This record gives sequence, structure tokens and C-alpha cells, in this order.
Amino acid sequence: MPKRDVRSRSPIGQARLDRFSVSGPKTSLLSVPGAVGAEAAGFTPVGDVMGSVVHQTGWAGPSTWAADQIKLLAELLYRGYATALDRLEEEATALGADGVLGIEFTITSLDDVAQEFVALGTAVRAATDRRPRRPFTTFLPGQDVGKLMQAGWVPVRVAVGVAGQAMFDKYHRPSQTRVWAGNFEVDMPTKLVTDVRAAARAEFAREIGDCGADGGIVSDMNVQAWPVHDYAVAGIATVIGTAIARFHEGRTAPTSALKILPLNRF
Amino acid sequence: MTTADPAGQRIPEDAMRRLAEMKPGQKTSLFTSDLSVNEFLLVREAGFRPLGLVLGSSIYHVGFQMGRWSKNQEMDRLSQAMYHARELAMSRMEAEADVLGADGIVAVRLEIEFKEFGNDLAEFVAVGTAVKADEPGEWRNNTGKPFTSDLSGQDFWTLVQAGYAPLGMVMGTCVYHIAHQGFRQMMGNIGQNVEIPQYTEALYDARELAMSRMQAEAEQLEAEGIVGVQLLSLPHRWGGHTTEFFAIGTAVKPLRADHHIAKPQLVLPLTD
Repeated sequence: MPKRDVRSRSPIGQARLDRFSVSGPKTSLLSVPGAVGAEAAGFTPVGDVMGSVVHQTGWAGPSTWAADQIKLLAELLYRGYATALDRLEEEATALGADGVLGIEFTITSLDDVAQEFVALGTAVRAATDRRPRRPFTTFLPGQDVGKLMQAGWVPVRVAVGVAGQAMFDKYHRPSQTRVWAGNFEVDMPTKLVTDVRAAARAEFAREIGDCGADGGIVSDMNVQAWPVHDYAVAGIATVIGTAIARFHEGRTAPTSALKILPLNRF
Repeated sequence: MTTADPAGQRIPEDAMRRLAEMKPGQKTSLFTSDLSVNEFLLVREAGFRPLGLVLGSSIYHVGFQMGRWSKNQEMDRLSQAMYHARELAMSRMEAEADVLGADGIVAVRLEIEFKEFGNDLAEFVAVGTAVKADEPGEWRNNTGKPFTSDLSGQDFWTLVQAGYAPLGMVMGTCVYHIAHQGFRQMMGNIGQNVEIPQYTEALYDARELAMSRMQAEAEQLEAEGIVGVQLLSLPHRWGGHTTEFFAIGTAVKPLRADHHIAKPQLVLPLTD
């Protein structure tokens, strides 16, 4: 069996993309409102695109201190997101798309030692002659993109910030957490979650700044923190969202909201 | 909205030009925000610019208090813990907003999450989006802090349209222990539909306490009223007879004398 560069597309994937470019049916993962929203922004779907990667979860060794292990996990998480996204973008470029809407990430654990990252989205083409250098990517569904574009903002790219950290916490535990100890703030874990969140948010903001966008809309932020034996605390924070850029002129936002009151029950 | 708009054709054109002209590392006035697209657009339309996502967190050890088996009582130590921890998270979030030079924080979420660290440890998190008004004005409240509001972007827009400004989130909490029924009372009530007076009283008192504390906070801010009040009972992890009653809302002040808003168009959506 001929060895294939993992970075390039598989023959099966290539064949699927080739069928799009001739005159095959255009597939889309957009919902009906999403498709209408995309159309309002001047986009037509050209096909659904995917990027995926399976990583083995590394292990820094049983004797290594938690900090190294956490760094490794955070790095892996970030690389998973980034690689899946790169491959999705490659597929979109191959289709001649201008952007990918409604990207969804799924992370699945495969028998505890490996993780699969899958990014799925709908590639769209704009009704213009001008093309962006690389397709934009966004988590936002079609209807949100429609609204944003009407108001003069365009999605730029998916931004991901991941940070992991571990801290020694010998001094406080377990004496500080005894049942009778009373009310107080537990300082080490508080510092840990504050720091990892801050680091992930800074990463997120840096990614947005690096691509020259004007702002970022966070779509998900989470922190996982856990004790490591009884001497340390560890945590990983993830912030994901979409970088957006302004194209309307003037400092104020265009006012065009139509005040409606829906007559359904809620 | 979709195709009738003559500017509709220009939208993708302008957008694609912006993308094509974008240079990596270009200096921009960067913001981040936790708002949904709807909220983001409405906050912009209300005349505010998002400055950044702001966040405050505290992992707190909630102390232990024994309730007397057959007595209705407030668990004041637990009430204090819930107050103090939320206060810590909120004030840290406000401090972040202050650094950004914000006028206020919108769409604040106040959450409690019990952690894997231990049974009595909970993380209190406050997350919101710091905003600054396009037109300078007296937006900060009488404590000199940025206003806070847990209203959604939609509600915030409507509030500002109607001539009100948020002052701050106000809350009241009361952790209450409800007396167990005495043996004789329980035996006497078997098989009957009766009111259990001490339960009714306990729930009444606890809610009244929570609400009056919220009211007191609003009075301190010299508010005209409180909107979007939620009255929650949160059992947390204290068993069936100890519950936190938590009242939270946004205190508001009038911006002008009249409070008319444009009459909304009624629509009948064809979806559920």
C-alpha cells in the first residue's frame, strides 16, 4: 500500500471534492433559517466540509510532576482544534469557497488513549468578484452571520485559546477544607482557575489580534480543574469563538432593528 | 430584509474587500465579548461598545452549620458564605471592568459550580461583557463603580429605549433550615390533607428575608425600582431541609421623564 502524506487529503476525500466541482449536488449542513440567513448575507452553499485528526494522548511519565503533564494536555487540545480546522479550511479552499459557516467541533475519546477532533461546517461562496485570500471560518450559524453582515461586520476566523497549569497546594490541604473550618475563600484553587482562565483568554485575544480582526465573540468558555493526589491542583481552560471585523463606515452602529412582538406563547 | 434591500448586493462585496485587505498583526481596537450575535448587535444599537469579556472567580469553602432538628431558623453562617463568595466574584469582575475604563457590565451571569476538590468547595463565577457608551454620560452608579446588569442584550436594549439605565445587580440571599415535623404531629396528620404550618411559615420567611435584603441593596443604590427579578430556591448540597432562597435583579434609574417606546409590530411566526 503506497504511503500517503497524512497532511494531504485522502483519495476518498479528494474524490468527494472533485464531484462537487463538476456539477454534482451542493450539500449543506445549514438549517433552513441558517440557509436563509446565509442567502441574506449574499452567500450560497457549495458543500459541507470536514477536518479531522486523531491524536494519541501523550504521557509525560509517572514520575513527572503534574505541571508538565498538564502543559502536554493543553498543547494537545490546542493542536487538535488547530489541525482539524486547518484541514477543514483546506477542503473549503479546494472547493473555491469564500468561507465556512456554522462550524461544529466534536471531541471523542477513543479507548482512553486517543482523542478524535472533528470539525464540520458548510462552505459558502459570496456573490462577488473579490475573494478573500483565505476562506473565513466561523462557529456562528447562518442566521447569525446574516445579521452580523447586515450590520456591517464580517466573521474572520475561528479563534481558540487553551491554557493549562498546575500548582502546588500543599500548605492548605486538607486542613483548610475540614468540615468545621468555617467560611473562607480557598486561595490556591481560586488562583489556579483565575490564572488559567486569564491565560486562555489572553491566547484567544492574541489570535484575534494576530489576524487583524476588530473583535471576538466568545461562543464557549470552560474550565476543568481537579486535585492531583493531595499536593497539587491542576486546571485546563478553553475559550473558543469567532473573530469579527467591521466593514461599515462611521463610529456608530447602523440602526435598523425592527421592533416586533412574536405572537407565540413564549 | 432579505432581497428587497438594494444595498443587499453591496454587503458581500464590502465584506470580502475587508477580508482581502486584512493584514495580520494590524493594529485594531480589539474587543472580546461573551454576548450572542443578537445581543452584540442590540448592545451596539443601544449606543454601547463592548470593550471586553470580564470575569471574576472565587473558590470558596462553605462552612458547616447544624440546624436544630425541629426548629425553623436561618442558617446565618451559610447565608454569609453565599453572600461573601458572590461578592468576591462580582467585585473582581468589576475591578476588571474598571481597568478597561468601562461604563458598565451587561449580560452578567452569576454561577455556582461545585468542584471536584471537595464536598464543601464551590466555585462562584461572575462573567459579563464590559461596555462603554458612545456618548459620554453619567453611567456609573453612586458608588463610582461601573453599572452591572444581568439582563440579556435584548432586555438591555429595551430598557435603554424606554429611558431607564441599569445601576447595578442587587441580590438577597437567605439559607434557611426548615423544621422537621414532630412525631406527634406526623402521626396526627397521617392520611389527611392538611396544611403543615411550620413548612409554610419557613418558606414564607425565607423568601421574605431574601427579597427584603435585595430591596435594601437597591435602596443603597438609590434606585427607582428593580427589574428582571428572579426568585430562586437552590438546594445546593445541604439535604432536603436546608435551602438557599436567592433573589436577584437589576436596579434601575430613570434617564428621562417620559418612558414611551415605539409600538412594536406584531408578527405571527410560522414556527412553534
